[in-house]
Amino acid sequence: MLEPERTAALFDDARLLYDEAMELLDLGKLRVAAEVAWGATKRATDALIVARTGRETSGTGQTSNGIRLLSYGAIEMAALRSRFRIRARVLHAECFYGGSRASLDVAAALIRGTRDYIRRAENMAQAQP
Amino acid sequence: MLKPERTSHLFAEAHATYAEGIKYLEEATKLWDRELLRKSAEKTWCAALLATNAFILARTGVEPEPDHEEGTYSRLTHMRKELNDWEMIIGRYATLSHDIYQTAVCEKNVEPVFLLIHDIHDTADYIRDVERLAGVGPGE
Repeated sequence: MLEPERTAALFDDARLLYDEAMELLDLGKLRVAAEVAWGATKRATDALIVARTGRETSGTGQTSNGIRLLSYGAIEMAALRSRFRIRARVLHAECFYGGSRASLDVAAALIRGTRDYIRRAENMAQAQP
Repeated sequence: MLKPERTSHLFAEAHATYAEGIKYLEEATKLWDRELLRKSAEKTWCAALLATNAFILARTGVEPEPDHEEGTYSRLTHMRKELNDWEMIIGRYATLSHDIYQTAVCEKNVEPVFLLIHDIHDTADYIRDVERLAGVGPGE
């Protein structure tokens, strides 16, 4: 793993954001919960990219490109990329920016599943490439 | 499987469209032509959309409107409770939609070329997987 301290800090932040998202979800604030869960997803993905490349990403576009590059020829990473993309679409684009209520139960399930996403990313960060 | 004849027809169309996409890809890499690569991406996306519509038809009996990405996506999310690991299936669809359709086809951004070529090849696996989940093909 490259940059272990920075990687750990990013994963810690992802977990904090996940906890916050769950609190918001319990309060019924789905739209904000979705964006915070998206933040947790992005943080965990950024952590994985730092662990694998030593380079830090900033905006969503860079994170998107980073996970796309990591998934090249790597089946597990490609699976994570799919889980990243559905979160980008539902939590970030539809739920937060679009204010869509149509995919309410999908959004809630994805918010809850973000814990699993962080765990998967963390396991991949620790594994040998 | 519901509506088996129409489902098979849509899958056959998906395979034929994908094969056209691969022909464009071969030409694109031979001539190093970005527009041909974009055409390959377009055919590949159409093939993925047709296969997804066939899968939805086989599982629900309802055929989504053709060439309507949002409609297909919406029907797919409504099916989520019937799918094992729905995040993966819908996530793969969302990935193809974003990286092939939106980025390469609509925005005409084919960079990085090697990743787009990889995604085009990978779409064959997606088509095969939804075909299997629809109850068509090997293992069913």
